[in-house]
Amino acid sequence: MINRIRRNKGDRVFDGINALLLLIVGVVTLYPFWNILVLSFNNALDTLRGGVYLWPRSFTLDNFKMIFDLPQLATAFGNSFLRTIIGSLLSVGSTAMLAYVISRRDFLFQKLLQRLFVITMYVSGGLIPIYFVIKGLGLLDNFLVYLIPMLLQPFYLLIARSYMDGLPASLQESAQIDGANDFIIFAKIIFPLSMPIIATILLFVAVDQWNAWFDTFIYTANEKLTTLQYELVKILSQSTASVKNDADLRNKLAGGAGVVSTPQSIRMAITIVATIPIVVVYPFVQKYFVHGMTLGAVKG
Amino acid sequence: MHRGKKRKIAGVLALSLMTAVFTACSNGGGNGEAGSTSKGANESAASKPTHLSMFTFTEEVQSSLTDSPVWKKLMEKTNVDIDLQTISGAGADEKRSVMIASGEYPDILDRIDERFIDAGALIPLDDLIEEYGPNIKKAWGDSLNKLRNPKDNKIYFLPSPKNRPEEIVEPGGTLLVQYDVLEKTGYPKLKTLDDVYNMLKQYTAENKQIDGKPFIPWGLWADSWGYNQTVNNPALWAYGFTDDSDAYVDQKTFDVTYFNTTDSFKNYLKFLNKLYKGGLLDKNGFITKYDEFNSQVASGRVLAMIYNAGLISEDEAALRQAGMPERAYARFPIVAEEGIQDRSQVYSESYDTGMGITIKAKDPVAAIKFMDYLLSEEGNVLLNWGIEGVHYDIVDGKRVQKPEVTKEWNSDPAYRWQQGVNSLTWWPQYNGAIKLDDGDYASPFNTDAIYASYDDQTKKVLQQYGVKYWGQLFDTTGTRTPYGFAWTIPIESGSKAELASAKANELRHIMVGDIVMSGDDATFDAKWNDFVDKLRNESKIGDWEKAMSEAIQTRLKLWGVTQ
Repeated sequence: MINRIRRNKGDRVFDGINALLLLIVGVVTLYPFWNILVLSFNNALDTLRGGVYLWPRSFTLDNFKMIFDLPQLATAFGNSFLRTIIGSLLSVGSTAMLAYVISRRDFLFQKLLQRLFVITMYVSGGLIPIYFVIKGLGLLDNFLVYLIPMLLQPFYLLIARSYMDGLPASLQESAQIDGANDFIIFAKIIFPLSMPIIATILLFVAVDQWNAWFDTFIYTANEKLTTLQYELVKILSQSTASVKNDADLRNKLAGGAGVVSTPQSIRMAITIVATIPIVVVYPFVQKYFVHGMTLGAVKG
Repeated sequence: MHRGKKRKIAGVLALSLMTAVFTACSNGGGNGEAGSTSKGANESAASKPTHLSMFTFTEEVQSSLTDSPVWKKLMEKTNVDIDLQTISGAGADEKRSVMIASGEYPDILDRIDERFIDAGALIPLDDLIEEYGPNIKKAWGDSLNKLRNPKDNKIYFLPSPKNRPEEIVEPGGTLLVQYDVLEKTGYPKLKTLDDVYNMLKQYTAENKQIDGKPFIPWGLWADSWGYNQTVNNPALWAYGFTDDSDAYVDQKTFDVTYFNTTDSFKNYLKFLNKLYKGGLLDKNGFITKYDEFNSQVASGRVLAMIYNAGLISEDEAALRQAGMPERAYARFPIVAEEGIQDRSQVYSESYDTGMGITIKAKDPVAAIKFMDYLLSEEGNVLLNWGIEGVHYDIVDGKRVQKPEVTKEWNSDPAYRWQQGVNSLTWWPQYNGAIKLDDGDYASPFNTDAIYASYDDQTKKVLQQYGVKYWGQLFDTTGTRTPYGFAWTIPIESGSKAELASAKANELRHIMVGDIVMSGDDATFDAKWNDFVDKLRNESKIGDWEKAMSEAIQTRLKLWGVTQ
């Protein structure tokens, strides 16, 4: 309070409007998610009737039961967990290393290499050629198919490179004077200084890895390699299909006793199951976003 | 300079190190082997089951199926060991493309689509059926011709046959009226659209709202695919046509006219216009979305509609759960005026997908024998009824589902898959309320079962109309079209015809609602003429009509109707 600069009326009005706007944005962003949470805990048939907004009208765990009843759930969760952890660590490691190399202006092929990577951002071979590459590499039905294709994504590479570009060149020079080689410079100086961008990329890749299901679907046939997201996609399409299936009609006609969930409610529960674990990770990575910017500097 | 060079070398080193990491990884865990999972036939020992791999392109199969008693029994009986892989709905298209591109097919493909035939992935079944398929030949008879591919006159897949008379267990698209409306208006006999109009007028005169929300006397949702469900098809049924979707087919010359340009359709829009003027039509109906419509139905607000009954089963369950069983719906046949015969439930023999054997099959004979068993009486009973003594008993010479099975079935949707009973309903087998050669139903999902599942409210209403189940009110004996359903005839993608159809579809989404909500007849006619004019001249719907007419002629020839 002591240091507070005197604020005039205009400031207060501005603050008020600012707070109000942010509050609106906050509510608009949060509400859909909240509603999904509410619907996932609401009786499926009751949800059909509409009008459930802020609180479950008819509380149930049936929607989640449908999902947690999956026989392959443990395998699927394990695989998703493993690929997220291993995959994002490997990916961040390789991205950072490569980014360092192409951020070095004295590296002979810097420009060429960078352009080659950029091209892949805009031009893709398409599904079938990629499939053949994966097949040719012997990655079909192999856990590595979750890790290797996702090792490098040019977009993250460019972000990391521009960040490293922004680090003072004199830091590297001074390290070199002290006798450090490129590996030491990378490991001891560049990497720690790049923590903010590393953390960002780590989060991005982790989310990508966690959400990926298409590779499971296309490249694997072995049930042991299934991932959580793929299993969720399957439940979702099954529940949608059962609406069309005559034989299921009997359950529905029998007073609705057999209807434990509807596609809509399953979709909601799945969204929650798929999102929560990765949301939980966020706070742990967040501190790097804030702290990172002030880390290390060259003194005058 | 020396230092600079060193840096360059280090950079290259870092790169190569990364490459090393790549390679190490791919070598380290390279246990996966691409290729067909089929191990091939074991011809030497007949006792050893033949291993067959199968892909089924459906999202319905639940993985508990392959551990179920019925599945195990099926494997034992047919002496095969099927490795069943199911493809979920999302991404199935990509999987198909990849399969076709890589040529890696399993032995059997289930729920194939045209692209597999075009890609030459399937072998013709004609000779195999001739030699190893006595049950297939017996069940299909002449209908086998209806499976022939238009291009080379060969059979590539086997679906579930529809060549026997089937009782209607549950009507599909038809007039649906809330029980309460019927009761309050004295259970009127509903024959024509005018009867429905009068009934709704009478009911809404006294009953205005439910739970504080106004009733929607006539339900409509014409957004996206709802247009066909709630506008186009109702018009077809009201004027006594079968489900030809967008096509009006002249039954003598088999020339196709775009249904939305015909007088029948115009007259149906007149009826909707009458509802509109009488305050019985939901003004937002033409922009209502699927979820929105379902919540209208599930909260008991929609009094009547012509719609596919199968699509509201969950809404009805919701109504019953909410203690409003009187808001569930009765099913009636309905026509526009006296003299028209309802053909809404006349089904047709059209087959567009089924089970086929691929060029990669090591032992096509084992595969066709397996498919033949499915159509034998024993196989049919096994997959639909289950195992005698476990899932059903024979009482007085008739198959009766065990009560505990029925109970489990009705309360647990996953039960069918855990037991394997009546789950693979699209396989080449009879199912539903069709009678097998032994004179008994092909599956437990028949009219007896449906009656047993009705609630008291439903039974009360049924009694008023003197029937045991809704299907009895309908007539399935109406003339079938000789070409099947027109909607099952595909139009070449990317053709002028497809483009015309897409443009017309866009146009009707924009214009039809406007026509219906005309204040007077003059405006109605003017708007209608404008609509037809635009369909003809802007959408060039004639291209589509021409292509459809030709496609129908081709099919008629193929099916042996014309020479």
